[in-house]
This record gives sequence, structure tokens and C-alpha cells, in this order.
Amino acid sequence: MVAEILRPKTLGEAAQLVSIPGTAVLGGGTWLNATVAARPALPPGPLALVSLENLGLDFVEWRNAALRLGAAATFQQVLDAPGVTEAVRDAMAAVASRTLRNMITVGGELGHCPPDSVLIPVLAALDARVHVAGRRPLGIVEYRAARTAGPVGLIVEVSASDADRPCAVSSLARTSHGRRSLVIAVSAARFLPKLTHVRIVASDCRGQVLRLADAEDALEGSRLPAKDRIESLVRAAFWPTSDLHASTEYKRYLAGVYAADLLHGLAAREASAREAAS
Amino acid sequence: MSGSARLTFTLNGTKRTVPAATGENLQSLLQRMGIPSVRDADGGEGFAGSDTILLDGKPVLAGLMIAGQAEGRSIQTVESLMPGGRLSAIQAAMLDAGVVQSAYNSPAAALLIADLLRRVENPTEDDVRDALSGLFSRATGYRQFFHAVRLAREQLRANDDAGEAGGKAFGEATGAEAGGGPVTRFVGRDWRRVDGVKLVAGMKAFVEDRVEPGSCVLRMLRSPHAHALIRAIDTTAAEAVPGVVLIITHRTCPDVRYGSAGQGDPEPSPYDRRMFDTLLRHHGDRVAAVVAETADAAETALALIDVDYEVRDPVLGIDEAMANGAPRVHPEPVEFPLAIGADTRRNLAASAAGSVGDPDRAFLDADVIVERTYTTSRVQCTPLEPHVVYTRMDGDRLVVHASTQVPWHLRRIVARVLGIGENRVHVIKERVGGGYGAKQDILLEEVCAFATLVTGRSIFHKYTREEEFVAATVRHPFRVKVKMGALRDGTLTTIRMSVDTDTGAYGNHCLTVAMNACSKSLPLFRCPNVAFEVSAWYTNHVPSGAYQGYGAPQGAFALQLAAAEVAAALGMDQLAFLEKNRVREGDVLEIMRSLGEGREGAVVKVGTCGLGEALARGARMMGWDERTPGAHGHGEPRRGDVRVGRGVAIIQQGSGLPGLDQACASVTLLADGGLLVRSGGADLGTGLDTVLAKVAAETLRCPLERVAVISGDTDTTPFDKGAYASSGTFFSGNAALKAAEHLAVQVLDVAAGALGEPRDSLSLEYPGRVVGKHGPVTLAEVAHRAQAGEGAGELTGRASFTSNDHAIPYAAHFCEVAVNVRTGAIEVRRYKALHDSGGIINPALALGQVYGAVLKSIGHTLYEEMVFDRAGRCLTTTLGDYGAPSIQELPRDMEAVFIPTDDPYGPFGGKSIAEISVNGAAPAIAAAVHDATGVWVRDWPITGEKILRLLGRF
Repeated sequence: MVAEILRPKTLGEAAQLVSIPGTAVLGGGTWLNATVAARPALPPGPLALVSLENLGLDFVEWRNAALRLGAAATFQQVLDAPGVTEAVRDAMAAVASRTLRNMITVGGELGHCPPDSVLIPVLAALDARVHVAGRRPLGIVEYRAARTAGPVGLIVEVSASDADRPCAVSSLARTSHGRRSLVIAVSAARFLPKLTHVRIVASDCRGQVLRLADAEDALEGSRLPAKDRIESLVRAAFWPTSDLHASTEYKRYLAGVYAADLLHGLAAREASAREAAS
Repeated sequence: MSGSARLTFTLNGTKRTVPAATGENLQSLLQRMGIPSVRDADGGEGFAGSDTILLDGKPVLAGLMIAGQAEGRSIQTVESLMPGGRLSAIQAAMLDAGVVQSAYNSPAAALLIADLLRRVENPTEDDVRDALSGLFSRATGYRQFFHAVRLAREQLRANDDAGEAGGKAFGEATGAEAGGGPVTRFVGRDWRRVDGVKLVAGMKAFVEDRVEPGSCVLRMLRSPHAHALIRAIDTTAAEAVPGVVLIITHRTCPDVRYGSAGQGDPEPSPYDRRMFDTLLRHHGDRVAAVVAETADAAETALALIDVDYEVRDPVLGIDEAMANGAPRVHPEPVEFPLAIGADTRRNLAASAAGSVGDPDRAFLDADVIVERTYTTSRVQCTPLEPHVVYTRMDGDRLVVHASTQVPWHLRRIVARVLGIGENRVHVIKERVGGGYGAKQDILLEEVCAFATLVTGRSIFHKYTREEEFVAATVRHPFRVKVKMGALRDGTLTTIRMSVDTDTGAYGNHCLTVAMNACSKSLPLFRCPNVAFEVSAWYTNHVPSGAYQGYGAPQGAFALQLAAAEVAAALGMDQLAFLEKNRVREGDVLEIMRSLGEGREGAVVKVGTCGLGEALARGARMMGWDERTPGAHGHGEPRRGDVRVGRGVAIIQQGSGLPGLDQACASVTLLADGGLLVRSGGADLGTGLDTVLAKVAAETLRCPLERVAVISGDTDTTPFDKGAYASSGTFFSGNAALKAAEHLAVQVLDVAAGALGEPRDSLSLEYPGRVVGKHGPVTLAEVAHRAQAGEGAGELTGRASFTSNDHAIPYAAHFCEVAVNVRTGAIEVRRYKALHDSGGIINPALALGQVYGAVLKSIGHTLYEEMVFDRAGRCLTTTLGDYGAPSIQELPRDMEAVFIPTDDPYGPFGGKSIAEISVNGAAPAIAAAVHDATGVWVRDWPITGEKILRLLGRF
């Protein structure tokens, strides 16, 4: 039972409240309230919700070439903000319902970590950092690991210091509102003449969100290979779990296709941008 | 703020302070505050959008918020759009565009459009899609929302005052009219639906709106196993929970076997159900019911019921069901009101066979023979308003507020199960927030009714969305073997169709759905040699039942795709093959003699048939004959990974069940010259009540706004078989027409006396006058004369309608798909639905019926799928996981067109509309996918994974 909503006015106060057992952070409330409805999923006893509404965390801004998304910023707010990286926008738009986008917050997405999140692989591909009150910034993979170990505390914002680098995402779902079966996000600092800082992040939407390090290493510092080579590298590194709508084989096949197509697409874009500039 | 506190927020411009628990669901709180328009259709999934509100001006979902979040905020519901109680321009536009059908979330749609028009001055199609992206509209198919937004924007611009209502009220024409047919004032022209205002305004209209304070709730304990025996059940602890009123188990329920199907009496379905049984036959089957004074008490009690299950091996498919030594789903004696070819020892629920000509001989002579197997999966109706009932006592009579398609069958079944006379049961059909066949079965009403009869308490029961998936009926999975033979010149000479269906745990509709697959597909072809056989098999799956199309979508998928395969084998264009072999006006359908539904059938002569024009016009719309090599079609050079292909299907349905069913109606002349139509027909949001009003107004030449309709009330309206088998317009409409004609005769008689001239010199003329040589007399004057001291009494026309004539609707559906052969992504780019539904009575609503049905069928063709684990448990229990399509799945180019014909049997030439529209997508899309990729996907849903596997990609 939700006993009360606490509305702290400072980050310090909020962080202190969140550290107390029997509290939960209230962002947009979509995940939390769905859980409240399914009561068996909650611990017994009264629950106090800590609201972020008075903390000024609903910001979307660029600062020193870094994109900063406040924990209380809604997905629609991010979509509507000027200058947000295309891949981040795509991740927000992957929540197909505008009504839900008006509710779901960046902090809520990170706090809940839905297995079919599109945002989390994109943030991972952008080397984003999760800022938790009282802790050093955590990379996405690191953050997810910490989260599985126990409560991480109050998420304040997520930032990507190099968010305007080429990045793209593809995902598989049977319908726009359906649960996703696969998300592939890729990025690289440069494609020409050779790939640098390449990132390939794969989510099987069943709990695995992986940077495909072997595939990244094989590509790093090389010329962009043909699509079938990228497909082979990705498939060798990724063993997704099947789900309601997609088999393991289908996911592996598509992971390769998506990664190859995305990388070639970004490379083509960079090439045409260079051509236009010259 | 404490757990229970007072909340202050602004509701529709007024500051309100209300006592509320912080954690109370905001949607529940708003309903408690007297705002019925904010509804729950998905239990907080965030999919349906029926719980949309504007929070500080932005659309959000109240069902995903707790009350405490509203503190200090501003909330707007649809009531905020209508200051002074007048419809806003937006609501008026929605009515005019025909998007208000089952209407459970029409208020939500109005709010979303309001938000859009506040944000965007000139919305594009993408803007509209984005704005309505959080709205599930199963009934309308979304297409007409684009028009509604345009109308609303224009009206708002036209109004100096944005709050001024636009458009026209009920009783004023709204624009479009269907071509053809006789000159009419109301029929064939768009008028707002008679129940439109209360639906779009979010007024009390549905079952849940009738619940009185202090009513109890009912919750059902459901089987966690697909097949299990209850060895013991202990309800002691549950009964001790404060607030628990009654617990019903197999020990305490009536010992009556019955069927849930609301069909003709005697029913062609087995009596294989007991209210509660010791043998549980599917995951989600009933174990016990708890009636309690609060939902919390009921749920606490449910958790305390101790059940000892003996889990048995489930039968989870047709092959398992028919295997030697298979577990018996129904080991008990099963009663069959009609002989339907069952053998429950073999899990065979029903079977039948028939033929004309000599198919085997014809195969010997055929130049091309194609023999294929096609399969279809379970599909859920997913009405926005879940199954729901409210029962109460009125003295010693039981009142059932129902969301049903079949009020009279419901009364009959409830009375029989409870062992009371029908005189003690009063069924009131409320507005139905979506039926599509799901509400043709009695799935919860008899339990609630029994509990009310036993306790005397008023009881409310509403399915959760999960219960919709595990405990409501679904479209039958089919396995259809088709063998088809043709001559080299493209003449189809022989067909053999063998149908096996999975009827699930119970046999409701088991024979009739299977038969309908044949009777609505085989007669589409002029073929002298035809044989069919059908078998329906019991399994331990959720029961199959009625769903719009009623077997015809599965039959059409198999037969039309087989025809496409024959055409391909002949090297013949698919359209040319269909045109050569299609049914024509005046054809005599011999096969129908073998296709009675549990009774002997009769040969049918085709009346009007607009298929030829539908095919020709559709071909022009699609540019079918302008194909250029390489543009589409497999085996041609293409650019990139995307292949484009086209497909077509011809389809049909019926208009009710001639020879089996009946509808009755009465039309009363009111004292002021208005009319009151009483009809047993069940309007499911389709606009049937509006059809009845138009028919009466047209016949009596009475202004439409002077006509009221009461329908679907077993106490106050006459018998009607209900809304199924596409019978509304044909049966209920014809009954109203006959009743109106009967009243017209009486009116003329009275007027003749008043005017002192013979009846046949008089005529009825608009607006509500009888005109003779000696002058006019108004309907009010006629009514007054009839009801005065010397009159013969109130004038009422009464009629029943039965028929042996068939008004068969036909259609041709065309589509164009783009398939990415690298990723498997499928996009339906174009969809054209050309319908011969006779004379169209409500054009905009009729179009909406087609669009809604087409999107449903695109859904079951490409997206929707119920997935089960190896133990038979349903894993897809949310709308999102199930794959229900939203506005983003709507094809960019989608168009429905009516081909006017003047049917001799339907009211004002009308045939049925809605059901037929679900039959075309699967075969048309499958044929188009083949055209694009070269692979035949013979089982739905057609997914990217299946295509890529067939292409050998992995």
C-alpha cells in the first residue's frame, strides 16, 4: 500500500529519503504504479514514494558538448527538445504512444530497466554515464550490474559527453506497441578512413544488454568491411534468448543484419557529409 | 500526506477537495467522483487509452497514476470540452465522421484530438497518427479519424467562440450519401447516430455505469492448469474473510449442463458445461467464485481457497486430440440438442460432410491439381470493454444488466441454468463497448445471476484483460486441406475442402463455425464438383467461439490462397482466374443444400452480386493491369532489399440465417406525432439503432429527430435473435420496416376517417403529414384522434420478420505489400476494399465498419497471436504482447468503396456489412507476399521470421 508521497525540495533530502528502506522513487509513475496494481510484486508493508517533481530534474540540455537528460525529463520532452541526437530521439519514439511518452521519464526508464528498452542500448552505444546521487558516474553496463546487486540510489541524470557522434539503432517488434524482441545500437567516432571507437550494443530484450566486444575489437582501426563480414562477427558474439515472437536463430540472424546495415548507413552518411563539405 | 487523506486538485476548471487514499488509482478515483468517461480497458497496461485525461494540459493515463500524483494539478476529462453541456466541435466532428462506434474510448479520443488541435494548427496525417498513438480503437480502424480531425479543425476555425458547438445535431443530415437506390431522406445519407451524443460525451451508457453504491463484486478463481481434476477444495479460510458474502464451487452451484453459445434454439452446440465442475479443461477454467462487499475482500478470499489438483496430461492440438488413446476432454455424458456428428470418446465435438457433382472424377480430368494445407491461429476479439455484467433483484425478479449480443438467448440460458421461469429474468442490454462475437456467449452472466438469486445482493463482475485472454472465447484455429483442380484454360472444375478445427475445452459454436468456413467460401466459385468435410476437436485450450466472420476468414484464407496457387500453377494472373471462375447473379448454389447448420440446408439462388464491378473497379484503383516488369512480382530485377507484390481476394458473408432466425419490432405513434421504435435488436456500436430509426422515419415520413429507439430489453421490446451472423440490418431492420409499414396502414386508416376520404387516396409526406384531397392532417392529429375518447387506441405497428431469402454481401479486397527480404519486415502499403453491401443505410458508420474489420483482419494476418507454453498456459495476456494493431499499423493508403446494388430482400436494398470485411486480408496479403517474394506462407500470422525461413535466410 502506498502510504504517502514525499516531495523533497533538495537533492540531498531526496537522496537521504531514497536510502530509507520502504521507499521508492516516483518519476512518471508508469512502471511503479503498474507494479502497485500487481500487489504481489511489492514487498509487504506501507510504501513511501519520493517524488522528483520539485527538484528541477526535468531538463534536457547540451553543456560542454555533452547531452544531459535529467531524471525527471519525460520521453516526449526529450523528443520535443531541439538538437537531441537522432538515435536518442529514435529511442524515445520507440515508445509508440505519445500519451505514455508524456509520462515515462528518463530516470524511470533507467530505474526500472525494462528488458526491451531501446534507450538503454543507445545510451550504452554513446558511452553515456548515469549520475546517481552520492556516487561517481557509472557507465550503462556498470550501472546495470550495480542495479542487479541492490538499490543504487537516486538517479539524477544521464549524460553523454560525445552524444553527437554517429549513432543509430534498429529494433524488432511485431507491432509498434508490441514488446520488442531485439535491439541493436551502433556508434563510432569516425568511419573514414578507418573505424574508431566503434560500439555495437545488442539487447535480446530478455535481459542481455551486451557490448559485443569481440566484434568491436575486430572492427576497430580497420576499414569498414562488407556487410556479410560484420554479420558474421556479430552473430559469433551474440547468443540471444528466444521469446514469444522471435526465435534465437531469427534474433541472431537479424542482429547481424541490423548491425551491418546500421554501420554501413552511418558510414555512407559520413561520406556524403564529407563530400558535401568538400 | 498520509495513506488516507484529502486531495485537492482542479477538475474541469473547478477546484475539488476529496477524501482519497494516496495510493488509490486515479482512474478509480475519478469514476468515484462521478466521471464515468475515464474508463479502464486494460488494467493499467497503458495500451488502450480509455483512461486518458489531460493533466496540466497534457494527455496521460489515469490508470497508471495514483491519486496522490494529482495533488495541486489540473485534470481535464471530456466533460471539459462541453461547457454548458453542448457538444464541442471535436465531438460533433467525431460523430459526423463516423468514428463513434462501440465508443468505450470515444471520450479519450476527443481529448486527444483536442490536445492535437491545441498544439498543431494544421495537423498532417503523421501528426494525427502521433496524437492518437495511445488509443486503441478496435471498432473503427482509425481511418475516419483523419477526416474527423479535418472536420473539427474547420469547424473550430469557423466558430469565433472555440466553445461553440459545431456540426449538426441528431436529426440533421451531415453530408455524405451513398449512391444508388430510391430517393430517400434518411436512408443512404449520413445522420448522426441516435445514441451518439451520450457516447461521445462520455455519459453513463455501459454496464459499469449502472452499478449502485453498496453493490458486491465477484471474482473468479481460475485454473492454473490446462487439464486437472479437483480432488478437494477447502473454502473455510476464504469464507472467514470479513466482507465475503458467498463462495460458489462445484459443490454449491446448480447441477445443470448447458452450452454458452447464444445461438438459435435448439442450439447446434453441445451442452458440455457446468457452472463449476470438478474437471478443469483449460488454463483459466472456472474453479470457484467469490462474492464480497469489496474487491480487496474478494481477492484476499480468492488467495485463501485451498485446492488440491490432480494434474492431467493436456490435449493441446488437433493431432493430439484425434490420436488413439488421447486423454478425453469430456469423459462425462454430453447432451446434444441437435445431432452434430459428435463422438466425445474420440474428442470429436462435431462433424459433417457434403458434396455436389463428382469431385474425384473431376480430378482425373484436371490439367492442374494443387493440394495444400493451410493453418490459422487463435485470435482474440479484444473488445475495449471487457466482458462485464451487473445483476440485481427487483422484488422477486432478477435483473441482468448485460453487455451482450444476445439478450433473449441470455435470458433463456440464465433461466434454464438457474431453474426459474423466464418471467423472472429481465435482461437489459446496455451499450456494448465492443463485441465482435465475443459477447455472443454467456460466460459470466449466469454465475453472477445465480449469486444474486442466492444472496439477494446486487453484484458486479468485470473481466480483467488477462481474463479476456484466458477465459473468453477466441477465433477457432483451423487446419484446412484444400485440393483444387482446373483445366488449362483456367476453368476451375473441382474442389475438395477438409476442415479440422480446435474448438478448445468446450464446444460452443463448434459445428457452425466450421460449416461457415465452407458455406462462406465455396459458393464464391462456379465449380460443378465440390466436396467438403468438417471436424471440430475438443482440446484443453481456451474455448473457441464466435468472432466476426465466424469461420469465414479461415475458410477464405485457405480457399482463396489455394485459388491463387492454382492460378500461379497455370501461369495465369490471379485476378483473371478469379474473374473467370467467380459466382454471378442468378447462380444457383447447390452446395448450400449440404451446408445447413445442424439441420438440412436449402439451395440458394444468388440475388444481386456486385463482384464483377468490385473486381473491375478495384483493378483500376490498384493499376492492376499497368504492372511494369521489375516494378513488382517475384523473379524480376529489383532495387535494394524491398520487394513489392500485390494480391486480391473475393469474399462473401450472409445476412443473418434465413430459415432459422427471427426478429420482431414495433413502432408506436406518440401523441405529438413522434415515433417510438421498440426492437429486440442488439446494437453493438454498429449503428443498428440508427438503422431502425431511419427505417421508421423514412416509412412514416417523420423527422428523424422525432424518433426514439428502445432496443435489446427483454421486458420492454419484442423478441429478436440477437446480433450475430450479420443479421442486424437484414433481420432487425426488416422487422422495423414491416412494423413501420403496419403502423403506416393504421395511420392512413385513422387519417381517412379524419379527412373523410378513402385510404388509398392518401399519402404520407414529410414532415409527418398525411395528405389527401381534402387537405393534410398531421401525425400528431392522427395520434390524438386515435387516443381520444372515441379513438381505437394508441397506434402501434407490430411485425416479425422471417425469411428464406438470402441477401449475400460480396466484396473484393486488394492489397499491395512491401517485403524486405533481408530483414523480413512487411508493410501493407495499399489496401482497397470494394463492397457490395446492397443499399447503404448509414454511409459513414458503414465505412467505419469496413475499416475496423479490415484492420482487425490485417491484425490476425500479420501481428496477433496467442502463444501458449507446453503446459497449455497462455503467455500473451496483454494487448501489447498479443499484438493488437494500433493506428501505426494502419496502411497509409487504405480505402473502402461501396458498389451499390439494390437487393430485393434487404430493407431499402440493404445487405450486411461488418462481418464480411474481415475475410479478405489474410488471402490477399498472403498472395501479395508471394507476388513479392516467391514464397507461399500458408499459416497466419504471416511473420518476417516465417518469410525469411522460407527464403532460406537462416
